[in-house]
Amino acid sequence: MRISIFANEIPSTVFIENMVKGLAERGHNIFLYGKCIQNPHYEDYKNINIISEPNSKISKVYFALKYCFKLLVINPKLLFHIYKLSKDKKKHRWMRKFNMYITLYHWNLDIIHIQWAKSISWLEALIKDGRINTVLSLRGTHINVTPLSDPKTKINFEVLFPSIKGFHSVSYAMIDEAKKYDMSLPNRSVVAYPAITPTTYNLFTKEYTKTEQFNIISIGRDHWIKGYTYALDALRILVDEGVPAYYTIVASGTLPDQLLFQIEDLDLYKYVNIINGLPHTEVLKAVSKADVLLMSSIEEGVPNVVLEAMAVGTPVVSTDCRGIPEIIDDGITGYITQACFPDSIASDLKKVYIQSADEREQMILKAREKLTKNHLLEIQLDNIEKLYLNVINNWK
Amino acid sequence: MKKHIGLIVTKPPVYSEQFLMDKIQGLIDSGYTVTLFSNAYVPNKTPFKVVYALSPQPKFKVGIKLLYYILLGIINLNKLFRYYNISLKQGNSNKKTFKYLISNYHILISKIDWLHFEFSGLAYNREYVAKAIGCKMSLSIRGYDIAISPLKNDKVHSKVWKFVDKVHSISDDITELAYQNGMPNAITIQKISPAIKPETFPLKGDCGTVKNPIKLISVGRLHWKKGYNYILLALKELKNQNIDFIYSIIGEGKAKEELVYISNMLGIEKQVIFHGEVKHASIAEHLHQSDIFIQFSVQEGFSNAVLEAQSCGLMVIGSDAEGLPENINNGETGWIVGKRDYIALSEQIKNIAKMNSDERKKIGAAASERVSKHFDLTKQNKEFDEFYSE
Repeated sequence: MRISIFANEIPSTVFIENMVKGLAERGHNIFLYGKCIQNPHYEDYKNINIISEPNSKISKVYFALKYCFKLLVINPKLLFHIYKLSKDKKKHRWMRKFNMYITLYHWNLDIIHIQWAKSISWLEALIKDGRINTVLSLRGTHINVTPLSDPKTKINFEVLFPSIKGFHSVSYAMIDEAKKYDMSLPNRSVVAYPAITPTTYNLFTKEYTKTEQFNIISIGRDHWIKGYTYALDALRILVDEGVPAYYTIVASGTLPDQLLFQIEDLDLYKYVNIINGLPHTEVLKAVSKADVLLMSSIEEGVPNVVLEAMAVGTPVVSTDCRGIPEIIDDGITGYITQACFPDSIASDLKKVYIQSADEREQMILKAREKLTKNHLLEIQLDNIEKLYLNVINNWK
Repeated sequence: MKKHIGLIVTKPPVYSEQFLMDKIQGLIDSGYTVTLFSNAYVPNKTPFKVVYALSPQPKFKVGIKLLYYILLGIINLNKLFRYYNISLKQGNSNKKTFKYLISNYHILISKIDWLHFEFSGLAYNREYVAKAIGCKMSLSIRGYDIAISPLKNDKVHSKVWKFVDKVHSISDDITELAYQNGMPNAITIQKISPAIKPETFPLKGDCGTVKNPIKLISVGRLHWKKGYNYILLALKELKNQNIDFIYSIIGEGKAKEELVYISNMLGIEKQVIFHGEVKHASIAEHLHQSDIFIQFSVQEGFSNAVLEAQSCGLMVIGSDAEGLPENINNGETGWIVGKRDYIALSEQIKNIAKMNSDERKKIGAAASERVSKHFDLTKQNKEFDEFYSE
């Protein structure tokens, strides 16, 4: 199949990159269009094709002209069609859309798989046009949060979802949520849970030494959605109760005023360490060394970091946000706690703190078992391929 | 002849920054000439005279202005030279000196007697400007600039203090923070409490009543430091105990997405109403329709909104952040609850609802009276007049 994975940036997040490489390994031709922010290291994959989006005004014009000439020779009718489709009142939007569409159309694709729901406004005309089959991933925030406070996005979803030919959802709960925008959406959806690579799964070692300190770790860029405010409040409660807690946050980017102020205000300097970004392999190491992974998010689809912690053998305390109950059985494969409520988070962290070695081992074992059932990369890729085939067969 | 005061602001004030509008108007009324200096361009939004830096203005304007600026520069060449020398003496590189000479050019070429920074953080990289012009330099410390900004960049204040002649603080707690941030004892510091026009926020007719459902209200931009998220948690507690309420939030801001989401998640979205920005003139109306005002900030310099609510005779609950305990007399004109302690907040709301209405009326009346006695704008105007008259 000729598939475009459309994710704005190249390389994209770890889970999207895993999918890109996994599909390429299965022999599909993958096409990527987006802003190249760093070297994506696709050297070993001959069937991944990249065209990077032009940045400056001059390069945009040059880009457009180049592809215009190309298409003028091969298929002038299509060129005219694209010109009409990409028309926009705002000139800079028109330019960007034209370049985007001309690239996507000239590839002669079977599927465009759009990764982020927010970006569908850019592809509006292309989705409605229907010449290329479009598939959309339903992931966390973009579906659950943005439409609530941004009516434009909501209308966009309602208008465009019916024209999208297939949906990839990260959990059943997410399909339920997205149903609001298109009643018939569940019939066109396939759940492909986020997954971990075999390399991550094999990182697991049974060795575990308990130290004096109770090491809590959280991973993720700083954003209100991550709920670090409540995690810090919970840390204060634990420290007050005499638990020797030490909290590490691995976030990327500079730390916002909000957390700096809260750490100062709650006098938590001694108990918090904030690491500004780590390579993925280092993150996994840090997670496997910690006593517990805290997923404090207010909202999240199915966070990869929870799966990774379960794989490398670190018990998870996670908030009850949407997709989580599909991965964690409370008290068996991890603990589910109430988002936003510091007391609840603190008391569930404490449950891990007082766990016996046996209980801990059992929890890790059960968690890893759960992963092998639903969350290995091969299973995810099978489901995604199934979705693509469904779409192609239904819309021949 | 009264002095010409140059006020450095982040952007020209619009109606949501009433405190600044009031201060400037007050100074003009007292006979001062006031010019605002802004590095952000907001055309025609403010009734006061604004001088903009060159860079943020539209291109066609810059063309004309440039000639004018160059001319003024030639006349004021001595000031520019002085700036250059001071900056080099302070150990700055040529490049850096030149960069800030350009960005402060519009101030350097002005004829002013007193340069005042409305937020202490604004003085960063402008510390030598007053000395170069040969005028007095003062700054206001208001909260965020002294409580939060230094956490990110602790150099902000240490570089500035030695050039400052006078400091205006809005509350004792904020003054304390300034000392903690290295303000030398030698600097004169004058506390001028924020103030309002009590007559625009008259005591409401049904002062002391608490309706069913309880009408709660907050006024202020939607920013994390205002602690709205903890208010929502407290409301969830009330909902769990089957207490009926309606909560109005007046203000707009970056935290809106978060707050809308959390109220949906907690299942209180039907009881929480986001009114968005409301004209200052109609805030009193909203207050009069409400029973209890909540200001649950995690950081707050003083809060004019709390003064306005007290003036209207609402039952006011504030957190114990910086200036709020000075703003509200705990137990007499309102109540103070520990910040972030949402359980205590929900208890306080319940307690107020349980009180008898005479007791509540007494508190509302006391609050209104205290505001008109101590936080009246005419008093503030006099104090500012004194501040700049030395």
